[in-house]
Amino acid sequence: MPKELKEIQYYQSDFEAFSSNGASSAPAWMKDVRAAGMSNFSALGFPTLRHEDWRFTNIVPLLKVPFRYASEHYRVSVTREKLSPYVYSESAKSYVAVVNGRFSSSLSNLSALPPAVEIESLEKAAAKFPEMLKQFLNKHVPSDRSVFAALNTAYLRDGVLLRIPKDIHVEVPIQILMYSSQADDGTPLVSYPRNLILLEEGAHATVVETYASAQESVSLSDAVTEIFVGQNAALDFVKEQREGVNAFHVGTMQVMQEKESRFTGFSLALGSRIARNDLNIEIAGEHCESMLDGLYITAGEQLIDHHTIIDHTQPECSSREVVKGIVTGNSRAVFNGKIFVRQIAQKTDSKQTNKNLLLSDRATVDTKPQLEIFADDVKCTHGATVGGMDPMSLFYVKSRGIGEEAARGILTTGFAAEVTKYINNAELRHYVDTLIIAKLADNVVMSELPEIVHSAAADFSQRDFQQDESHS
Amino acid sequence: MDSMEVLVNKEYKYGFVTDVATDTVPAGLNEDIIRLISQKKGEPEFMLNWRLKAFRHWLTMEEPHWPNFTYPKIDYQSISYYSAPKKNPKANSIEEVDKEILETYEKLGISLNEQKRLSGVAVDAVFDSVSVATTFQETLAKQGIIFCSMSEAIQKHPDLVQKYLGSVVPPTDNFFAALNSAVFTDGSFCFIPKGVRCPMELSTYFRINAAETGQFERTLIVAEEGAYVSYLEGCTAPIRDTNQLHAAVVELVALDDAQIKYSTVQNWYAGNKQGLGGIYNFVTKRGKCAGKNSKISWTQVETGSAITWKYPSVILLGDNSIGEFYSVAVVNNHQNADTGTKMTHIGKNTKSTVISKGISAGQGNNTYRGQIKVVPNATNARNYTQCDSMLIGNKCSANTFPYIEVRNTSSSVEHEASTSKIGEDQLFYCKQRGIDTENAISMIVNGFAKEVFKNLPMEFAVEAQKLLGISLEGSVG
Repeated sequence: MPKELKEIQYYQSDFEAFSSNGASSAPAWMKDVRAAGMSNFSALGFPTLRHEDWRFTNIVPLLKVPFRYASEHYRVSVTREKLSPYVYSESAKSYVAVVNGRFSSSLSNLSALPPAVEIESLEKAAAKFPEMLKQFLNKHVPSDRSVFAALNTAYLRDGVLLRIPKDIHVEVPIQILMYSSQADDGTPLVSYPRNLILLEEGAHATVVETYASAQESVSLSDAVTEIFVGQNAALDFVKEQREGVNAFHVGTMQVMQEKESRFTGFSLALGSRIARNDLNIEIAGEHCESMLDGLYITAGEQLIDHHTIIDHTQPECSSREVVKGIVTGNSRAVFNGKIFVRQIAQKTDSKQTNKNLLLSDRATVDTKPQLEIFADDVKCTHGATVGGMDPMSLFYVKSRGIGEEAARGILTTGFAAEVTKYINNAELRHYVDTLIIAKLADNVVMSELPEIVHSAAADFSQRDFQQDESHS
Repeated sequence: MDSMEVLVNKEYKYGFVTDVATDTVPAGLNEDIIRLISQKKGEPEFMLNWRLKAFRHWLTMEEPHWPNFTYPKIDYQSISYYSAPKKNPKANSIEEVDKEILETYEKLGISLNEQKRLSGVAVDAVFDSVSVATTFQETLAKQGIIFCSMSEAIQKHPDLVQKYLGSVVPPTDNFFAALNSAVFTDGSFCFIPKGVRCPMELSTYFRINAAETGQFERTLIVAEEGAYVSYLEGCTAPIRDTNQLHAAVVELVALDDAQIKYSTVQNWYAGNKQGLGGIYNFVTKRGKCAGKNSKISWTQVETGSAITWKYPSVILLGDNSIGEFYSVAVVNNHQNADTGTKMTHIGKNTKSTVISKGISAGQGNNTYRGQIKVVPNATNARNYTQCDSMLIGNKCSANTFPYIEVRNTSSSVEHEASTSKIGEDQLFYCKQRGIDTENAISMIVNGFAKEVFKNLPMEFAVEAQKLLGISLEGSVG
């Protein structure tokens, strides 16, 4: 215990510097929010493996790094060239960049966005629309339970505000590129970006939130994204998490859905030494549809942890969660999915699946799908599987004259494609598939990925699954 | 629906108290009490030391509070740890057993008179802290089978007890196991020698009678190479307003090619409709498939207790060993059940099957919690888990918390769960065919639990089905 206490103090002392220096110009209400976050953080402390929510994720390697708050004091040079590999081509003229938690308009390009869409620095928005921010910001973040959400709240300062006004349909996908990096002098930095995404009544949008880092850079990104999907609004959301192998990621996504809204989320988790993704959806209105799918691929010494909550608090809603994982090398994957069905949430239809392909005897999968149901007239199922490559399927593919390597490649990419098909936008799905294949090819799965796999995967991701879905 | 309301008020029929003079030690827990218990039971030195060691360890432990329910703090100093009928606690023959006690068992439907029993079942009857009678001991002894109370085993077979006691659930395992190890008073011991197939079902019937006592029994079953045994346990308690603690430990050991089938029908007093009283059933049950090709199968029907908190588990140590867990847990009124299993795959080609059916009614809270663990060397391990929940009414809840930890690529682990209700339309359909509500519910529920019931020995299956009907009476209406 005394050891942990010291680490808390470390983050606490940085907070004093933070609140008295650069961030002191914040409005009073924001300072109150920060103080509450800090007191939650101090009360919670850093979790050990004895903590139920952190049973399988040991954060000691993260705590060992002496991260400093990424203030103006540290020089970090980031150029457009450094960011360009992470820009999604379809969003080349509709992306914003956030570097170490600070919005950068000079690195952003918003020329293709319709003028009605409001997107800007959260820090500036706090001064410009204090009432709106007071209404929405930090209203549903679980900072009383989650230590990293509390820490992010304590350091609340900047990030992105994205607001899609009533009935606006934004066709072009909007990318929020979150880039983290150590200081030029090599100091490991921690940043606390906060994004707020508001879709007003009837608005439609596709948003890609990318977390990236300089390749060898040692950084910690403690991010919180709050999403409000208004009545009858629809959001397609991809969280693309692919920081470098020396980076750490602890992120919370908190979605709030109003009645008749749709949220389709996809978590693509490929990067970081240790990544923890808390993805929470609160369904606060009737007749909502919530989809939360995802894929994690772990290799080397990585640990990727997903903790999801879908909370049905209103009747007549449906949710689907399909999360798959490919686990290789010495890596570890953790999945913990909770579905709550509250007493009044009758007629809920909820499905949850977690499937894991374990490709190395040195790798570990810990999965824990949970249902907590308090209403009786509901349909709820969940399932989880963990297994290696199915020898029968492998035999079948090989019997078609395809070599061992290629057969494994086809089956592994096919395993992944089974979940990426839930991404509605075909270009975005193709983009995600490409990232997956690159990650698979880079790692132990396939030393060299045969061309046949590329073409098969490309064919697959180009298919229009909208058609399939409506028939099923 | 009026008839349903009448049924609700049906009392727990095992809730009577037997008026029998008892020898009860004063409430409280300290080393002197443990020495007193050990002395009363005339135990050899090694047992006393074992108990004291467990007690000293227990003092360093904290009561766990992670399950999915809360309960008032248990005052371990207000419990009496030993209570036995005064006259002749262990009779040499049935004739010597106290008349009131015999009548109690008659009333519970458990005849201790060998002639009256169905010839297929041998019974060890445990009344509060002690075993009062064990039937068919001689018949079994002819085949080398030892079936007796734990106290008798400690005296007559200390070598076996010393070898196996605590070998599956060590005294330091968990808070309640440590407590049990320190104060356990009796229980059943059964030993099936090499190559013997036990010719009849063995069973223990546990009865709590005295107030303000806790029941801490310890059961140990050892099946040597190639042996087979099927074992049943049943339990009831009188109606009381206060909660009583029942913290048992059951250990099973199966050597090469041995098979143990362990069935439980648990019907402790569950508390009244307002949730007052009832038994806290905090039990540690674990089996060890120590040998190759061994098999341990747990079947449980949990209908009683205010709180059930137990996870019958199997350690699959031997290659090709098999672990099974079949469970039906029913909660009504204010009952809580947090139950499930742990299957730890260590040997090669090990298999486990978990079928859990939870039925929640009234304001009951039913939780399945299970762990499937596959260690890196457990090649070709297989697990299949299915847990289904049924909700009756909208004030109850059903929860599923499976933990799956896999570290081996040739293994496959599958978990499936679903939740459903008895629909108005299903009931309507049955009623339209002339089946009344009560029978329709019982039919649907029994169909839901059939996969588990079919694993129970026949007599028990019949009893379990009836019990299920009684527990759910009045829950739909």
